[in-house]
Amino acid sequence: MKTTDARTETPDSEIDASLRLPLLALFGGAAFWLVAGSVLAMIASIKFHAPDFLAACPWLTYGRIQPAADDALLYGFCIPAGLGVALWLFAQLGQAPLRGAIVPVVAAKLWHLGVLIGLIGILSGNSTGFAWLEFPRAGAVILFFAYLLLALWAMMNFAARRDRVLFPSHWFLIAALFWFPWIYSTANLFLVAWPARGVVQFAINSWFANNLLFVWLALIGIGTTFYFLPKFSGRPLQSYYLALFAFGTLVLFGTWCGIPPGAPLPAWMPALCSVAAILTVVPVLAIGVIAWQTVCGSSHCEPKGGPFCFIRFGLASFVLSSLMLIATACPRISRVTEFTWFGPAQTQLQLYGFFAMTMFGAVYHLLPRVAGFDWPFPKLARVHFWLSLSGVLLLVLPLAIGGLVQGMKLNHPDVGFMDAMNAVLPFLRVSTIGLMLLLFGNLLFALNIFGLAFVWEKALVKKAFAVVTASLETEDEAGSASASLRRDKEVRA
Amino acid sequence: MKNGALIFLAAFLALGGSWCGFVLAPQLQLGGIKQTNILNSSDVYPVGRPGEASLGLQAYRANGCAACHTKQVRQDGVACDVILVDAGKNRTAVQAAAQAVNPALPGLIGSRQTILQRVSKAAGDAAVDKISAAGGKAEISIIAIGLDIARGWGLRGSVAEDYLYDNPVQLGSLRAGPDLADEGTRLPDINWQMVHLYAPRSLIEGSMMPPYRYLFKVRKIGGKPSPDALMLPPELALAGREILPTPEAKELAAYLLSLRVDVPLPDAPVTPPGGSYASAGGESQAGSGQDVTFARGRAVYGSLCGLCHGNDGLGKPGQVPPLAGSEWVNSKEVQRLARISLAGLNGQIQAEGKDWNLSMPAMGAALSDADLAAVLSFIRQSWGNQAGAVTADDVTAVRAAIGARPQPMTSDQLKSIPE
Repeated sequence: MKTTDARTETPDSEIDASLRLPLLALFGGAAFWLVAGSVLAMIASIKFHAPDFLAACPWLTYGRIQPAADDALLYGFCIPAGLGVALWLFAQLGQAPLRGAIVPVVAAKLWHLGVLIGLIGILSGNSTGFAWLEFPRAGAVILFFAYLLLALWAMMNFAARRDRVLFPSHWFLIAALFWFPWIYSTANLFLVAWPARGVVQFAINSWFANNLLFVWLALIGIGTTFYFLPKFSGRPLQSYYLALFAFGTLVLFGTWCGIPPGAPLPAWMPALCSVAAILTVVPVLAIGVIAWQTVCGSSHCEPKGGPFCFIRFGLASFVLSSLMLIATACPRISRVTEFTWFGPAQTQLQLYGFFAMTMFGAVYHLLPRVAGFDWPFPKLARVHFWLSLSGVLLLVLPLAIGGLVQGMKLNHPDVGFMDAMNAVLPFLRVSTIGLMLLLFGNLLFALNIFGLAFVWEKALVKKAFAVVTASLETEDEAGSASASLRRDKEVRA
Repeated sequence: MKNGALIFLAAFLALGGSWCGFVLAPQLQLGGIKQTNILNSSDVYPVGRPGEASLGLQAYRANGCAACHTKQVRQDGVACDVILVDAGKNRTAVQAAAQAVNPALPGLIGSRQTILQRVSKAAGDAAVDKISAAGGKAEISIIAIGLDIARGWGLRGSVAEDYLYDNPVQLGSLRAGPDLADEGTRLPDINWQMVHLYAPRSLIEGSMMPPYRYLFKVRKIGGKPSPDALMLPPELALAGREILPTPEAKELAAYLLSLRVDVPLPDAPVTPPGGSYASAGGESQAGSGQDVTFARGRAVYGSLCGLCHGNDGLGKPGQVPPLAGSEWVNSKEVQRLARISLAGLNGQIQAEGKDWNLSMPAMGAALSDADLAAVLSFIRQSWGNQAGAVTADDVTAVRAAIGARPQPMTSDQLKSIPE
């Protein structure tokens, strides 16, 4: 390779080449699950307008398809995309190519196989029944080991880095890498393998869901953002110490959130969670301030629809969704929002508005560099951004407002339950439109990724063909050369 | 790299701390939880669900019911009722003391009279002291209050004991459908539950619940109709065929019927039957007493009765008789009507010259006398009905006559009761 391609003389392209296969495997599968999850979410949402829709098939009943859609988004897209971006960031920051790239490729394939098994498990009625942990045992074990392999390779790459500086992104990503195996093994061991008794299950489930949905996503997403903000704005992160403070307070307070007020648990647990949630305002605001100070005052500006737009929107969603999460931990607000559509609105803003958008931005930036080809449809990225933005707004805003309406109506015992539900119906209708826009946007994203992979494969085949024909030609030349040599010798003799 | 080690250590300690707090500590505190004695009883709680119902929990899990239903009654706190147990010898002094405590009290009526409702512990203690100083004997009864309880979704907040034998424990996080923690006391009719699973919209208008037809199978009626077959409304009935529940449907229905939050525990007192509705929106209601009663009746009707009889009072063809214009509702005497709603009704009934098939669950445990009176008055004065109002005393008398655990009656037995 080295001798044939001039670009590999620079370390950057050597790094990119080493990441090419693992990242294509991770992002390709992620794009597929993103679209699959959107389709499932659409079907689930339509059922609120027409409960008879696809009701005869047990595999497509609402109670199975809704968690399947959520898990396809979280486990199918968010986590592999986050791991892919983390692998790239480690290699990029440490200026070290990934060694033994075949292992992360296999791990990525394994991960997506685990997601497939898990989703089939949910749809066939074998869900574990725990929120965000629905994948049955077989899928969970595969996911766990695939993650371990990917995390191990990322850490080995980190240890072998040539640039010894430790960047803020490193802290967040390293913490995230070991966060997941810990919480995922704990949850699977004490909820599925040897289940705890009674409400202890609820405590563990809440702890797990918060640490995955809030802390893990925040660590990867903010770690990524803290790499891209200085890159796009042309200014260093403002400032290193504030980032250190934000990281410390995020892991310290964020991990204690998650148990809703009013849960049938000893009172100290929800009380502790409320306090932790209120303290989590500190890192969230610190992250907002860092971003603000880094971006503002920079003369550098990316064109609209570029990766920076995704990252910026993601960051705004992070601050907003985190504040929503914190608000719902206050007993007074929780009294209205608990058990309403406000919760799903918050989750979707976190998963989609913050994390997926940040990942889109990162992937649009890094994949052409890694693959060595430009996007086949660069203009669609811009369309994707606007579809995602309006989709998120049309999904989250109606659900949040509908949730507040629902909560206030249900808190009045004289309002009939069906009246409260009917008041929410128009909001659900609008949110279906939001989901539809997201589906279209995700299709465009997948189209670009698969298009890129196709172009890359085509080039690969072409190159292989060229190499084969070239070697045939040189053999011919070599053959004729040796024949002439022999002739010369004979002549001399 | 030194920084790197520090940062790793910080993250490790943070997660380790919360692991100890929310994984280890709950296990230590609650992992060994045992059955407790029921308040004022030697029975223990919980005792595990019967076999079919515990299998039904797995159907509940597999079909993702928790995506739309919670199983958790929230309680906002407790309040005290002050009850006069014994007026003693000096009735006038006790009456004066009681009226000093609660100026709105009309006077002493009898024993076990409620003097004060929904007050704080301190105010309750002060009232008890005043009454005992006057020579009477009063006691405090502690009552669970909360908006879920006021809605009729349970008699107290859910506590850890309620979930002891469930695996998985699915509290749910969204109420796109009603809370199911107390489904077994609210809607205790198994045929109702089955028909509702089979075709929710046939029973609840505008319901967003998907039909679970795949839990049922259609069979040709052979020599004899199966005793398991659903009693369906005529618009769903198929000629010559019957709908049979699969074992999974039976288990799921059994599980739903096993869900109750009505057992008083030492650390979790209940609102006495029916007290639930009396506590609702006490302060917010203005206007004359009659308006208040009528509004109360409409609210209770909407959340319970209207599920079957319809918000228009027209019932469901073939299943649930209409209340509008019904001779049973507009009768002169209210005993029969009160009896049906308190104790329930089994088997076929003739009304409006037609047969009706769905059995009516007993509502006596869920509604107080005042609320039942309000809802009966409401149905007797709505949709063109113009019968007289029902008072709480009427209901109290019928409740006393039928005893603590009345059996549902058949329509023939009812006919022996004067109209």
